[in-house]
This record gives sequence, structure tokens and C-alpha cells, in this order.
Amino acid sequence: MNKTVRETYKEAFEAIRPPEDLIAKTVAHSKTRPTPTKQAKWRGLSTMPPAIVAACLAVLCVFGLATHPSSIAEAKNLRLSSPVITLSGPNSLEIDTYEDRAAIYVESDFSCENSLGKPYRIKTDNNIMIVSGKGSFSSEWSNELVIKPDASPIGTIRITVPLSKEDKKELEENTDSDDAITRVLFSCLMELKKTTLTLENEAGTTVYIMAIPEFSSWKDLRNLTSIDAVLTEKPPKPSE
Amino acid sequence: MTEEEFARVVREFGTAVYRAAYAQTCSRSIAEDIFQESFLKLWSRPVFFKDDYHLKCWLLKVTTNLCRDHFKSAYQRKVSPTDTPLDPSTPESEDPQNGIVFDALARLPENERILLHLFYEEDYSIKEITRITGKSSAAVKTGLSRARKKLRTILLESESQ
Repeated sequence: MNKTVRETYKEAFEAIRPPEDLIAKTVAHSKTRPTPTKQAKWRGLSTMPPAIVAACLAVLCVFGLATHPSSIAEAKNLRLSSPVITLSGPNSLEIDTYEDRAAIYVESDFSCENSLGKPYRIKTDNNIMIVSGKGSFSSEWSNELVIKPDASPIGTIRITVPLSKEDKKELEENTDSDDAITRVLFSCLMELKKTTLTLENEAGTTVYIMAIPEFSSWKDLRNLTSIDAVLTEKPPKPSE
Repeated sequence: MTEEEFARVVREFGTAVYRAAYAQTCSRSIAEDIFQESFLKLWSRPVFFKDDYHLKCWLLKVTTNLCRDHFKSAYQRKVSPTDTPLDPSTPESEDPQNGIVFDALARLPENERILLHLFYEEDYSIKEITRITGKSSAAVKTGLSRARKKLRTILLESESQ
């Protein structure tokens, strides 16, 4: 019997059904989560009059333009210093900079606040942020990375990094796996490696990262003991 | 959306969502991830629907977008598959005819798979596919025509062998 292509296609897909346990898990998930209406106050944003939203965006744009560094090229003429980023273990990354600053890759959205709960003033370029304060950056089984400066007036920096779906899955499936955490760190560092960035610390000092060391595989990270990076600092203007 | 309503939607449209994800990714494990993600999006967002038809279209649109995101993800770009798209242990590959369909799907470009699936499996019109995929009507027509031709050729080839 000759079947149409449509019939053949439908027949093939007859066997494709979601597993029962997947359906059960998905349904059960709704019982463990708060109902959408209680989730976030930010939902109110969607009900705001468009004029207010547009005005807020305009203010943000003006602020962004006003604080944007004039030129990345300018950074190339600047004084260099050499911080050392050390992987003291698969779960922690020590960042020790001569300039009391540390750099970390974050994805496009992140939140950052110090131990006092105050949002930290920070500017990012190409998804890299830099924080001031000598200390350590540790990653435990979480998408929350914490930077604890040893001696810094700004306190502990807490950063929530929205991990990619694959990273989340990998971390969830390998809660005890150092490899999973290392791999996540690697993907962060890979981004750091290919980027020149311009940032400003709390004191208003503009800091640039110009170079990040070579490593080609996330597995290499396990054997890596230190990473050299180069920070550049914008010199004061002649008038200052 | 209440929990009961959510459970009903998952049971009623789960198969369509799962099949759409599978048709695009040709992988059960990825389809399962996308299935969950699609329904979690439904649960976490207070979206209101006129009727079940509207709801199903929304779910398929979300599924399509998630599949697109999957193909664009850094992970997907870094990882090169070393095995065939179909897991030999999956039931669909036991029937040789079914295997040919899935094999043909896997050989199509990612953006054409969903067009074919929405057209053949969900019986959507060009206009409806346009809405779900966000492509222009001309792009859908061209892509669909190309995909149908390829599928037909592969099926005919397999019949003649």
C-alpha cells in the first residue's frame, strides 16, 4: 500500500512520546514553585505606562554614554601591572592583584552587592567585571560566586552568575564533581581571555585588562597553578 | 494558571511539544530538556490565552525558540557529535521505516525541520507556521518546499532499495 509522505511522517512520530516520569516531574515542579503572581515585584514593570518606561530607558542611555570610556585604544599607552590569578584548587580561584583589583567574567545579567547589602558600583564591558580589593574568589556548587577581599572597605562582593543551561545541568548532575565546577570556571575564563575590557572601580579608577594567559582545554585548568593577567590603569588627566 | 490546569496542559500538549523538540534536535535527552523548559516558561509567566489553540501555538513557538537557542549555545558549538543522531536503543529506530524518516530529518538543516514537522505532524497552514516560527511567509514556503522535496526523495530512495 502506498502511503503519503504525511502518513509516513505521522506514523514515525507515533512512537515519540514524552516519558511518563518526565511529565510527572514537570507537573510536580509546579507544586514546589510559588505561583507566578507572587514571584517578583518586577512584573509590575510590564504594567507601567510606556512613557515612564521610555523615560527610564532614556536616563539609563544618557548615563551609559556619559560614563563610557572614551577609547579602548587609549588604554594601550597606559602603565601596566601584573596581577596573578591563581587556581588554588578546582573550587577556588585566588585573584591577587598588585592593584588590589580582581576580574571575573559574568554573563550579561548579574547582580552584585557587598556584604553590607549595598549594590557595588561597577561598569562592565564585554561581560567582564572587575572588583577592587585583594582577596579570593571561590566557586562552590552554586551559581553564586563570592569574592572576599582580605582588606577592603567595600566588604565581600557577592555575584550571582546566571549560568548557561548546560552548566546548570552539569552542576546539578555532578554535585560532587570538581570537573564540572572547573569546566564552568573554564568557560568563564575563556571569555576573559579574548577580551579587552574597561571598567571602573568604586573609587572611580578606570582599570583595563589587556591580556589573559593561554590555555586551550578546560581539563588543563586542573593542572594549572597560576594565570598571569595584565591590568592597565588609566593615568590621571594632565589637568588633575 | 492553577496547578490542576497546568497538569492538564502538560498532559494534553506534552506530546506535541516533545515531538516538536525531538523533530528539531533529533535527540531524546535534549528534547526532554526542552520539554521541561517550555512548560516551566509557561508556569513561571502569567501569560493568558484565549483558548487551547492559542496556548498550543504559544508552546510550540517557545519550543521552537528554545531549540534555536540550543543550536546557538556555546556548548552546542563547542561539542561535535561523535555518534549518530538516533540512539539505537530508542523504540522509534526499531521500525526501519521510522528510522528512515528520522534519518531524513537529521539530514535536513535545523531550520527546515520545524517547518516540516509543523506542516506534516501538526497540520498547520503556511500562515500558522509563519506565526509560530516568526519567519516570513515566503521564507516558510521556500523552506517547506525544499524540505518536503528532500524528504520525498529520501523516502523514495529508501523504497526503491
